[in-house]
Amino acid sequence: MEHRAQLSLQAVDCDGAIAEAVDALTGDTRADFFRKAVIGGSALAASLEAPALAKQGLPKKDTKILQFDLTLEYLQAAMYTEAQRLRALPPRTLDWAKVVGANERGHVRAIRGLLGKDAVKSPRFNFRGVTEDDRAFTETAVAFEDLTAALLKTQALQVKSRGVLAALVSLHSVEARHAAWIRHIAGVVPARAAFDKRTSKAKVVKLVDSTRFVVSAPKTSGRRRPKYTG
Amino acid sequence: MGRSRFGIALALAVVLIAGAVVAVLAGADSEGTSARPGLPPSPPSALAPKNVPVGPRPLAHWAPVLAATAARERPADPTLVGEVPTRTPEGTTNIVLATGAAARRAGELWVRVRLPALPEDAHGWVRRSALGGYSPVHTRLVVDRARLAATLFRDKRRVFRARVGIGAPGTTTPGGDFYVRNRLEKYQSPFYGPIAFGTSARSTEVSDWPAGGFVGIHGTNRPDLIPGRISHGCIRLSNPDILRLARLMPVGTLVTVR
Amino acid sequence: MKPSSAGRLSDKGLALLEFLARGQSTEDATAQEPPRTLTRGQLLAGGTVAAGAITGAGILLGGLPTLAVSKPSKAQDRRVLEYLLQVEYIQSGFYGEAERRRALKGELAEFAERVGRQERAHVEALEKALDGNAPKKPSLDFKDATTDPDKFVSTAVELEEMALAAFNGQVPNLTPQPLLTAIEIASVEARHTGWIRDIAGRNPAPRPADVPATQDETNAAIEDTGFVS
Repeated sequence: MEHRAQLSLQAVDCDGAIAEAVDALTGDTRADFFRKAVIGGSALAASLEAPALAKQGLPKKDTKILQFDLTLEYLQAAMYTEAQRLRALPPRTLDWAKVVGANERGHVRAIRGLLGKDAVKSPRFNFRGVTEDDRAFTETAVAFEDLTAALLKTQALQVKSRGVLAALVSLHSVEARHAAWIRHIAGVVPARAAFDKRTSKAKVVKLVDSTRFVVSAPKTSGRRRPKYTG
Repeated sequence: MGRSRFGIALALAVVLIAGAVVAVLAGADSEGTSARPGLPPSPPSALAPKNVPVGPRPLAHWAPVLAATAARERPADPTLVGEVPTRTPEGTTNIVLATGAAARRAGELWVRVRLPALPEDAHGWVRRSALGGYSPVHTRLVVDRARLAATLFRDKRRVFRARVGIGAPGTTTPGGDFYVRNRLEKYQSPFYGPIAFGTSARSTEVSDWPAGGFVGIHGTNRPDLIPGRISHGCIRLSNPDILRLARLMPVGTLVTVR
Repeated sequence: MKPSSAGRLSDKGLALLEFLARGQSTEDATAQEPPRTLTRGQLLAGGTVAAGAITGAGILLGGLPTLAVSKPSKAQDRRVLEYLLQVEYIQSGFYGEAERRRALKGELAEFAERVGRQERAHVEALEKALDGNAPKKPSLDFKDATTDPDKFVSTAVELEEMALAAFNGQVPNLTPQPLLTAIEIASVEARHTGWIRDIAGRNPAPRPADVPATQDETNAAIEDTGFVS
């Protein structure tokens, strides 16, 4: 069985954004992988408009952590959902996208439920062809599973309440299962090192922004006087 | 109760509470004494996720046009099917339907889309990079020209029905498969009612109508003409009906005119 | 869009969830331990906070009988690490023997080699965290599980799942520094689990959240293997 030492991503997406994101994640450096998706800066950060009231019962810090997790889970769930719905990918890929997507959608629903009124809304996404090209999809899926598992380690050290800690621990290992599974299918070694390192929220924001997946809603409504045939 | 008995009761209560506190604290301290107690279990998780199936398959996906382009018969083919501008005549972002077919040519991803054309929507291939993000479509408006009725279905379930006015003879409403491209409101024009939707359908007979002659779905200041074959091609609903429909019909909705 | 209420647990719901995870009925658990009332301060200091668990009066009513609210401590860390090290000894012993006996071929041989190397690194890290005061290594007999390919696969699935559940069960009980080491290891155990389950033709991620195991459950699972004498 062939194993590639690390992921190499062809620029199947429009402008190499995915390649940069994946390379950055796997440790190679790029001169400039940060791009602004929308006017004014980080599209991802802008989408995190937390409701004013903090939920009683959860420490405020935990709420913020879960809100960020939710956004990352929204992204993953949306990517798998779109892939499954479009059916542009080969059946074998759709098979695992269905199972992994069901788990990620489960994460979204559960975290939304726990946050209640504090649940942030889902950003809008443009997956830029990633859900329509097998290789880009597989490599992006791996990148985000690895990323989420890495982030959850950092957050496990930051949460205050132990019920939330237990929750993050239970989600964390599922993301790692996904990562190994998809790598295995792609013919890449599922567990590269004996210890998986954590990553920071700032790095996650940078990487997500560099994909330019998060976009603003298009203007499909207007106020001009209609000129339809009548 | 006498004072002394009260005092005793109070003292007892204090002892009991203190004992309970000690017991709780001792229990909370997992060190144990003589026998080595086992390790405590994990604190219960605050989440109990269940996996979530993807739900009913959308009828279609729509995508905004980010870069003006032309649809080709085949990926990267020179034969054009039609222009795909970024704006509709109403100034809103133009949208096309994504079919899910995709192919790579010379390192670029091309996707097959459905776009406005005459006599009805056509299919062609555009660069994926010309489009924005995909949104699923779960609704279809079926316009029955014989029965003069419009019915909205969401995932095959009927959710709305109303009588309609359609094109008069000579300016008929075209038959075929179309989609809702935009939505206009807060304009001042009683002729069109409070809300108007633009579709990808175009009148085949009205060749010189400004702004391309696109068929709309809108309200009216002549509800007395509904139902009837009275318009220049547009599908007219009474104002209460168009307001009701507007709450149920998003942009991208498929429109099938029979 | 209204957020669904799925995923938010009341205190009773939490207790029920715990019991279900252990295969107990609520009646059993109630009979085993007297109910405790914990103050809000104790809960926030070392216990669990679940949505709706703390009443306005600040006391948790009704009790959560199996909620052994343990405060993480360095002394407890040692005991957790010793326990996790036992689990790693079994795994590294299994893969080490599989490699030595050289009966496996192809991807199974690769799996045994790579995973074995990683489990040995885990052993090293845990021994180091215990400052060299490691517990005794268990005496292991894997019979033909390290030579027969089918038995190797099913045993590896069992051991990886067992290890992952053991780690998930204790990570939340650790103080920050060992917690980080343990979760870095748990992450790789989860990868091993996903990998071997895919090899076995089983769903690598059958549920959206992994269920932690208690020490008793892990010990029972180890006993069931019959590998430890």
